[in-house]
Formats: sequence, C-alpha cells, structure tokens
Amino acid sequence: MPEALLSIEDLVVDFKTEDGVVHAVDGVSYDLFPGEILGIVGESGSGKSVSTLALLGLIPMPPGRIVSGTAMFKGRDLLKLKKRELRKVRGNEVAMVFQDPMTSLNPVLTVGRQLGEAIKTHYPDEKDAAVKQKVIELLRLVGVPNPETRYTQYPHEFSGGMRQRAMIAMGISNSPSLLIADEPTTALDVTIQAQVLEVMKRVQQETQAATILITHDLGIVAEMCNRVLVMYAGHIVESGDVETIFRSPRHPYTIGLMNSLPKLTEDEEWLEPITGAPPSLINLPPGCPFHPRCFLARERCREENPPLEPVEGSGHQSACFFSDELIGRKTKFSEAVA
Amino acid sequence: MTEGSFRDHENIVAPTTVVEGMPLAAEGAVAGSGGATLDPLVEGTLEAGLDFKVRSQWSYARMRFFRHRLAVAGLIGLIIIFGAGIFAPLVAPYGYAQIDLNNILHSPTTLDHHYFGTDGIGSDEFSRVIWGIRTSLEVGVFVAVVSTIIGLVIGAIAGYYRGWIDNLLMRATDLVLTLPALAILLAFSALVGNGSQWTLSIILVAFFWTGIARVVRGLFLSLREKEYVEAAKASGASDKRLMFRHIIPNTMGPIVVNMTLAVGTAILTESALSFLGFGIAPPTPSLGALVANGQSYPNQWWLTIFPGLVIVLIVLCVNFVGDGLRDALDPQQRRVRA
Amino acid sequence: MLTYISRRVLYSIPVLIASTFFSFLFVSYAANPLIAARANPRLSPQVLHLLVVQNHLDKPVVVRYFYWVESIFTQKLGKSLITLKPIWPDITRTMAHTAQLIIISETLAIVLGVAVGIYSAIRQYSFFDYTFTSLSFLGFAMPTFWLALVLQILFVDIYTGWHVRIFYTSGLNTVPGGPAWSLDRLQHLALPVLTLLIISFALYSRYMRASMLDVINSDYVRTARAKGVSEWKVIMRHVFRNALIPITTVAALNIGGLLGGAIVTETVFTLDGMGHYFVLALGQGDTYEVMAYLLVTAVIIILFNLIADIMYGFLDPRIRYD
Repeated sequence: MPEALLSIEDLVVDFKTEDGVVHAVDGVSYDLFPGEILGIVGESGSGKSVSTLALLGLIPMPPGRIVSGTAMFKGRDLLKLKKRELRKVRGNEVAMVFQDPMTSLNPVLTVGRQLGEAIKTHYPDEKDAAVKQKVIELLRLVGVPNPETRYTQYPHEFSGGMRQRAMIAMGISNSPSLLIADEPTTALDVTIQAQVLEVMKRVQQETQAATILITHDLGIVAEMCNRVLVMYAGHIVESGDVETIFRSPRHPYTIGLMNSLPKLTEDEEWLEPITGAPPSLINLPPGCPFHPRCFLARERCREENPPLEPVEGSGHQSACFFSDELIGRKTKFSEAVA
Repeated sequence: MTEGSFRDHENIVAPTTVVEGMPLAAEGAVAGSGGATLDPLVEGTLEAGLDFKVRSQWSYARMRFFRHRLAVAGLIGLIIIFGAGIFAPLVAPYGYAQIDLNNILHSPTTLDHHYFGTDGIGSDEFSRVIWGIRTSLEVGVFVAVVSTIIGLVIGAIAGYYRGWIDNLLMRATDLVLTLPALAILLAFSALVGNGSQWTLSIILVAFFWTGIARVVRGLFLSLREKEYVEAAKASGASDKRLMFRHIIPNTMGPIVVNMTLAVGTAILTESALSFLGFGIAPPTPSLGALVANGQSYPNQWWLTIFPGLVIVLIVLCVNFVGDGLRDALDPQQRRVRA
Repeated sequence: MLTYISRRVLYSIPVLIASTFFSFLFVSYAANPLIAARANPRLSPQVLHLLVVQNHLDKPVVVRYFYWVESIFTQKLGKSLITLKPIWPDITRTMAHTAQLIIISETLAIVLGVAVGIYSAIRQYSFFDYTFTSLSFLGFAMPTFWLALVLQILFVDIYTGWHVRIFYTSGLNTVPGGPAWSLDRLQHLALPVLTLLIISFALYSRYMRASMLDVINSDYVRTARAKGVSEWKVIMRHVFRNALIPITTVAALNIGGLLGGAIVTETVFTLDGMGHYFVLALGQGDTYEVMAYLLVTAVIIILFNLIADIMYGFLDPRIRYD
C-alpha cells in the first residue's frame, strides 16, 4: 500500500456572514495517493471547491475560517504552514487550475508574462530567455498552436479552450506533485471540453502528478478519474473507485444523482430529479444532512449524522445507516458499466 | 466598449448595479410530487423546531437598510433638520427679514434665542438658517424628483428603443459634458434667472435630468439583453409590458439611490449659485446667500460658519441615507462598506 | 492604437464646434450684444456704429457665429464689447493662473488619493480606513465655497491672533504681477490649492479604494496567489494596474468639476484666474468675454478627455483593438 501523498483529516471550514455562520465544509477526511486522479463530485454549495481552496490558504480569512483539521502533505500540515512556507508550496508542489479562464487570467498582462511569473516566482535566478523558452514549450505541450506568437498575446485574444490550456500549462509549469483542477471545463463548450480533458489526461500521464478533479459532471468523472468522492452539504457521503461507484452506488444521494441525468441513448418519459432543494448551510437540518430529500429516510436519520463507513468492496465507503438496503439497486448506468 | 468612448464607463460615475429578481428567502421547489403537501425540506426544518421566515423583497431591503448605523443616523438627522425646515414658522424664533437694530452682530448666545448670533442688521441667524433649510429642502426635493422623472422617461425610451432618440440623447449629453457644470449653470441663471427659487429649480432640473437619463439608459440597455426579458418576449409580452413589468422594477433600486443623492447635489449646487450671487436672491431665504452675506463680516465667524455647516450636515445625512439605500436595494453588490 | 487615437481626435472636433455653437446661440440670445452695445453709455454714436459694423452685430446669430469663429484665428478673439479691451491677453493671463492652480491641486489630489485608496483597501476596516472614509464623506458634503471661506477665516485669525503669516488669503502675489513660481506665489496659492485638493482627494481616494477592493477579490488575483506570488507583488503587479484603470475615467470626468471649483475658489480668494474673469464677465453681460471663457474651457475639457482615452488605451490592452 503506497503512502498517501495527501492526507486530510476532519477538515472543517466556516464562513461568517451577515445572515449567520455558513458551514461550508463539515468534517471531511480522505487520502490521495501519488499518480491517481481523484474526482470530487457535488452540487454547488457541497463544499467541494472550498475544501481544496483551504489546502492552499486561498480562502479569504475573514470571513472564512479553518476551524479544525489537518492536511498532511509530504510530512507537513498545509493548514498550519506559515504564509511564507505556504507560498513556496503554491504553484510549485501543489498547483491549482480554476474554473473560468477569462476571469482567472489578468487581462492587462500578456499570457507569456503570466506563465513566466509562475516559473520565476519559484526559480528567480533563471534567466529570462530560458524562462521564455520553457513557457513556449509548455504552451506547445498543452496544444496551443503557434506558441511563439501566442506568448506575446493577451488573454482576450485567446479562445476559451486555449485559455484553459494556458491555465493548465501554468499549473504544471513547475512539475507539481499535486494538481487541483476546480471545474476546469464547466465554463467551456462541450466540444472544447473534450479537447481540454484530453490535454489534461495527456499531461497527467506525462507528469504523473496526482490530480484532484472537482466537477459536478458525472460524465467527466467516468471518463477521467480513478476514484471519486461524492460530497453533499459539506460532507463526503460516498467514496470509492469509479467503476464500483457507478456499478453499485451505496448512498441515496449518489443514486439520486445518477438517476437524475437524462439518458441520451433512450427515450425517457419523465426525468427524475431529486425532490426538495439544497439545504441552507447556515441552518443545516439535524442528523443526516440529506435526510429531508432522501427516499430511505427514517427516524434515526433525523437524529444522528451517519459517519463514513466502509461497505463491501475495498476502498468503498458510504455515509448512510441503511446502505445495505441499496445493495443490488440498479441505476441507469449499471448496465453501461457492467 | 463598442463606442470607444471611455465615457461609457458610467458605472463609475453612478456606481450602481441591478437587483435581479431577488428570490424568496426559502424556496420550496417541489418537483414531481403533486400539489398540496409541504416541501419536505420545509417540513423537515419545521419539525426540527427551527424557525424560518419567508421574506418579501422589500422587507429584506428594509432590514438591510436598518443594519447600517450610518444610514439610520443620517435618516434621523434628516428628519430633524428637514423637520425644522418644514415647520419653520413654528420652530424659528424670528422671521427671515426681521430686523433688530439694537442687537447687531451679536455672537451666539442663549439670550433671546440667538443661538447662532445676529447679523449686520440684527436679524437672528438661527431663524434665518432655519428658513434657509426650508428653501433648500424645497429646491433639493423638487429638483431631484422632477429631474428623475424626466430622466427616467427619456432614458428608458432611449435605452430600450435605441435608434435616433438614443443617439440624440447621447450627443446632447456629450455636448453638455464639454463645459464645466457650474459654468453652464452660472451662465443660464445669470442670463435668464431672476432670483426666484423656482426659476432656479427649473434651471437645475434642465441640467440634472441628463445625468439621470444616462444612468437609466445604461440600465435599460443592459437589462433588455437579460435572459428573463428575452424569455418574456418569447412568450409574447408587449413592449409596454416588458418595460413596466420586467425592466423598470429592476431599475428602481439604482434610481431611488440616484434620486436621493441628487437631493444633496442639488442643494450644494443651489447654494454655490446663490453664494456667487446668481441664484436665489432675498427676500427668499437661501443658505448660500447667508454664507455670502457673512463674507462681509469677516470678524463675525458665526455668520459664515453656521449656514455652511448646516449645508454640510444636510448633504452628509443625505449621502449616508443614499449609501444605505444602495446597499439595501442591491444585494449583489459586494459589501464594500464605504 | 493609432487608429483609436485618431478616431477619438476626429470625433472631438464636431463636438467642439457644436458645443461652442450652442453656447454662442444661447449667450447671444440671452445677452444680445447689439442691445448691450446700444445701451453702453461709454460708446459714442460713431464708435457704436463702427463696433456694429466690425462685429457684424446686425447680422443674424448664425452668421455672427461664423464671424466669431473667424475672429478666433484672425483677431485672437477680438475685443470685449463693454470695455473695448482686447480679449486675448486677458484670457491667456488668467488661463495661466488657473492652470497653475488646477495642475498643482489635481496632481496632489491624484497622488494622495491613489495612495490613500490603496492603503485603505489593503487595510480594510482598520482605523486608517475608517478615518479616511469618514473624511471623504465629509469632503463630498462640503460646498467648495464654504471650505474656502473656512480656510480663509482660519488663516486670517492665525495672522491676527499670532501675527504669523503662514498662507495668504487673497490675491496671487503680494505685489500684483509677481513671478509665477516664487515662494510668495506658492504661499498665496496654498489655501486655494488646499480647498480644491480636499474635495478632489475625497473623490479619488474613495474610487481608488472601491476599485482596489473590486480587483483584490477578483479571480485573477486568486490565480496569482495560487502561483505563490508574494502578497506585495500581487498588489503591485496585478491589483494596482487594474485598479488604476477606472481612475483615469474619474479623473478626466472631474476636470469639469475642478474648473467649476476654480470659479468659486478664485472668487473667494480674489485670484486673477479664468473663473473670476468669467464671473465678472457674466455680471456685466459681456458676450464675447463669456464666449472666450466657454471656448477655452471646452477645449481644455475635450483635451483632457482625449488624454484620458489615450491613457485608457495604454493601460487596458482590451481597448486598443476596437
């Protein structure tokens, strides 16, 4: 059993707002191993982005607050690092790619300059010419045509897909051991999505960086990831490897998610959304956060918060008291995976 | 940016953003379960004994307004000051032009209610200031309201229908902006004015409406492209319905804010014009004229300080209230507590 | 970039023409020079007749406009109808004085305003921030003329009370016609500059602060931090330049307000500047002097707007490719 590259234990993140305290991340623990692609799936507000932003200290600290938890990375707790130490990690050993490349790139600086900055920040003694060469190489690697010309251009002169490729190039520029991609294709057209995901796959294979891929799109998870975490209302409700989760999900929310997707290969009369609405993170219902919308909900669910427990199959965990009742339950994708 | 004129960045001059259909505080989107049953989330939280309120848009805004201590202070200040102005006949111990040659140039004292002292002909400064407040109130409110109405109508037509009206409006306001505002107003009132408060008010309206029209135009321009307008249009809504039902309600926030702030600007402008001798002339009271009068008596500081101080207080309170309104009516704007 | 600039310049010319035309129409209508000339007791009938012919006062307004435009180039704006003095020397002299006042005030206001705005944004909600935010609220609420008077009274009292002359409270020099950049002149300009400075500073500091906060919370700043860039470099390289862009608009739009403020300030402090000149001309109903002022200010404003447009193009590459 290889050693975990990243080990998060009981992470809790709060935000203080005018309307109350928002519990964005409410006790998240998981391990990440070198070279694997871990997907984190959830709706908006599930805490998937916040949990990773916390690792790099990118959450605005008022109003945000890391209440408790540890995040061991290569022997150090990222959450306890001093600012200066954390800065050495950012963009170097742990890099991040964000969702919207139009707003994530500085509009008044050239793309080449911004990519160069990623390198020069951690290798200030490198000569400018060498850095420029490296940047051009990186752009070529991610499939940006004419990188020499593109180097001097501004973000608004790039198309959406190209911008995201540039962001990816920026992320891998210092060969990080961990790359976090926060909904990297959500803002892109579907066809461009495919291209960018292709680039990410290729890049991951070459660099062998462990990757956390955050998305709300189960299709992307199926395509790209080795393992997946399903999050809801700041909790992990299910985790396991991708095949198992798709073949036999063991949490009502996961099942609901899968069933709510339209099946493009057949006619369907009705869509099956999950009833109810996402919970308020300020006034979370007591007990299991999902129980108001759950078809399995019982008395116990209202009172106790089910912990993440292993279910049959290695590495498969579910946070539901009644996960056993879901054995053999088929979703639309069961046939597809089998 | 298509016009290539930096002046299109009007959101700088009138920093307002639009309220977009503020949702109810708790939504009960019940999909697929028929009819009369309470949304499971609602039921769940109610049963958990948690209280929750469904708020309408306006009470939400009101709540936010009263959280602003400065805005509330400003409101109280305005009530006191404007109250004094409205009830001037009851509040002012003396008349505006009441002469008392036995008591000239008296410094402030509680004797005989001469709180602000007396001037060169023995008139009570305190009373004169209160009468002046009344005029300022009349001018300020009149100018703000009327110019807003005119600006709203013309700006709406220009922004919605575009075409020649829009062009005309933009050219006209461009022209007006090439000369200093005070210079234009001075020229107008010097050459056309007659010292009457209402002539001056009309002159001010004729100038102020252009600013409001530009803001409204900008709002309409951006709103008509919004998806919900397109949606309404697609379901056959007429222009009139679109304007009144969909667009105008969403412009109310910025318009109210602008109108409030315009009261302050109008009062400042009127007092400047009256100070220079081109605005309101005696016997109509004016705070600006009072300050000008005080200039003739440099050793009697109370004759210049007090009327001006009152102007400062009025505008300060108006600005606080306007700021509070801006935050209250626009939940989307980042909470930059200015 | 060049096309962008030339387009802006070309657009300005018709604007200038239209602006002066409408002003001329209005001023001529409201203060008909023919009537004013006829009513002027200083003019003998022969001189009056000569004046009418020379200035084409009997022709319709539109025609007179063209003659006036012609006079700008050929006769240097001609002569005042009331005092019969040539206008050009007065305008240039007063323009120089007002320019000095405005340039000093505006430069100081921008530098201080931007600096305070930046610091307020970085240290949001600190004592510094609250203090300066309150001060800027105050600055917005103060009438320029009142602030000028308060300063004047204050320093008059200091003089009479302590017998120390720190700043002068009227005039441009102790001896009229004194040098422009002497200590004496600066002592005379100090209070007027302070007046305009305070009011403009409030504007710039507040907008800079708001702009900074906007940018600080943007996605690309988060990206820069995620790359490990130091906070100082983040502010200077990413935040500052982007935050400065809207300020060019504000500064350019403020020119009109500054010129208006100059009118008031010059009146209070009795400075021989354009604003004071304008007020006097208005009082006398002197058409051509009023028009001269309006022409000069229109040119100044249009020029500043052009400069701002160009600077905008420099700062924001997205604009250049319009």
